[in-house]
Amino acid sequence: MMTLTQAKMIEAQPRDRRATARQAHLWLGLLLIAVCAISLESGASGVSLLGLVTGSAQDDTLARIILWEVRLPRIAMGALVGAALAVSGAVMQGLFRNPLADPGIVGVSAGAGLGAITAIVLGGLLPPALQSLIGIYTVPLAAFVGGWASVLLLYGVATRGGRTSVATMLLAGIALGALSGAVSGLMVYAADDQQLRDLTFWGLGSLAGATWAKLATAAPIIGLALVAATTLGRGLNGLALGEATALHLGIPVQRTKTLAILCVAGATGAAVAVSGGIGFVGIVVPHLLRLATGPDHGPLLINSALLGASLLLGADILSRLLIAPAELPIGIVTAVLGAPVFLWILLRRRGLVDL
Amino acid sequence: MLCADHVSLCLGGTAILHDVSLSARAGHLTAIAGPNGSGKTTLLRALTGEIAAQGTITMGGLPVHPRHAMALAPRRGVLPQAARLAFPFTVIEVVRIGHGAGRFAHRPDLPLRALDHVGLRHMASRTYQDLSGGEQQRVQFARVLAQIWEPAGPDGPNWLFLDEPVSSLDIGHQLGVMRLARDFAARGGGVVAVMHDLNLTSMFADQVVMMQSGRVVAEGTPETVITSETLSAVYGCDLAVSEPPPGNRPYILPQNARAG
Ligand SMILES: Nc1ncnc2c1ncn2[C@@H]1O[C@H](COP(=O)(O)OP(=O)(O)O)[C@@H](O)[C@H]1O
Ligand SMILES: [Mg+2]
Repeated sequence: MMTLTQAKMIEAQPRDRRATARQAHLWLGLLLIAVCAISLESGASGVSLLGLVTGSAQDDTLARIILWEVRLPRIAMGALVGAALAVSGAVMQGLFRNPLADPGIVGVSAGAGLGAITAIVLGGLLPPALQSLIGIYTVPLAAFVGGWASVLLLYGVATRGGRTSVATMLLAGIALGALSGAVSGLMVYAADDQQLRDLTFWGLGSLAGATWAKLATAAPIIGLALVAATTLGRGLNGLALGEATALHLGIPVQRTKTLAILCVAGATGAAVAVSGGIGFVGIVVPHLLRLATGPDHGPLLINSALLGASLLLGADILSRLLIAPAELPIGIVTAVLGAPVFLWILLRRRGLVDL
Repeated sequence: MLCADHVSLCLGGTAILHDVSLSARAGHLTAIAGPNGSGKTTLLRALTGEIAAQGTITMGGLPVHPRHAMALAPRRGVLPQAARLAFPFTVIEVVRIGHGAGRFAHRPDLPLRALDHVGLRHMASRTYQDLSGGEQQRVQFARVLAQIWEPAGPDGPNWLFLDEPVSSLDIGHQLGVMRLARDFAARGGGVVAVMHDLNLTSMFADQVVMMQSGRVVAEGTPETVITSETLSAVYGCDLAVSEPPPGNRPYILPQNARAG
């Protein structure tokens, strides 16, 4: 049994989750490296970097091509997209002050998808000068605009006087997702054969089409959004106490909100543009991290990026191995892992939704 | 010195404050009293620069406006009437959010000392949402204390703005929090508190601003403002201020209200 003095000593030094959260940077970084290594070594072709280095590979050139042109860009893209989705989720949850706000669930991914599809199908109609100016960035930029418009609309509908109504947010998200889906469906009718092939592959949510060229279109936008997101820690912590209190804490509330919306739109938009709608990463990762190391957004945003990257790469490995040599769309894997977590949060915090 | 000069304010198309002028001195505890809906919270929100108002408001010579909130943060802390929190932060983490916004962020001992002041050190690791309403209110007070630790800084006095700081507290903690506020004022800081309880107002305030329907109807020491005539007119029921034999501060007994 604990004596009274022992109990007092324990409370004299309250549990400090900050150190744990900072140590987690290291552990999650190591985890990411490990997952990258496993991902590089696993695949239908049986090629491995280890084999190449030790000289036991049968066909050096083929092995080199598979590793360099297939697996590496896929790993880079998986890590980038996973980080983007998880950080989008964390930022959006901070902005809406609600753990259920996820770009996939509230229709932001669908809005970004609509932007991307519009660009794929109607991009040819842009004036040539503009086309050559934005070039390969047309699709991710259009996805960014679609995502941005969605977040703005959602924030305008669900947030009044600095308070978010969770019910309105979820319902508006359903409407937004349905509308974007319908218009995207219309676009498909206007598409030609080649565009249709692009769209089908992309709609499933997959990392299979990863190339260095594609990565180059998304990486700058996602990179910028991730770096910007790491500056939001203090602002989002303040916003957790309400907009008025954040203001009194000296937080530039309007700038924080604008930057948060741009980060979500940029990261979600670019991720959706290159890999389609991969759901639930944005809700599972921040939620697990909040349970483990607390809701402080400073470390949370960095840890979300690291764990999101690892999680998506892990899901990608599963999607390649489960029914090898065929491949499962990664969106199915993340949904099977993520949907129960979403329901779990909903059940635990039912009062929060108060429908 | 906090000065509000001819302040008017509309919310949602309705005029809430009408030509309010008042001044509050550092070193004093200024209480804003008045019936429900008389505009006390709205006045406090204008005085802290949370919402823009017509007229001029200055704090220690600095203009008060939402635009200047960042410059004001190191010099004034605000305790809102109702505080919500979105994520499962622990008590100490909530206090640290305030601490990080103030001038003493380099002193890691302050959050725990602030919790000591409100008697909640032993709950430092508890999740904020699991606390009772009164405990949450004290945590928020500790958060404000950790932000504005010293009553005065190099550029003059610092200020605490408290909206009904003791409304959900038991009588012991009511006295505790009011003593902390009075102590802050006694050491040179400025305190403006919206007060619900007229007895506590009478005990602790140096100056009382009585509001009614968005107007200041009386301003002065508790002795001059908390009178039977003023209270009966403002609160719409016949109240009599009682004077006990010892001491000279007025106190109110609802038992003395006459039907009418
Ligand atoms: N955002 C708002 N929009 C419209 N009316 C408001 C708003 N906030 C407060 N009011 C009204 O202003 C009046 C004063 O409110 P308040 O300052 O909160 O009163 P109290 O003195 O009880 O703190 C009330 O009648 C209230 O209904
Ligand atoms: Mg009020």
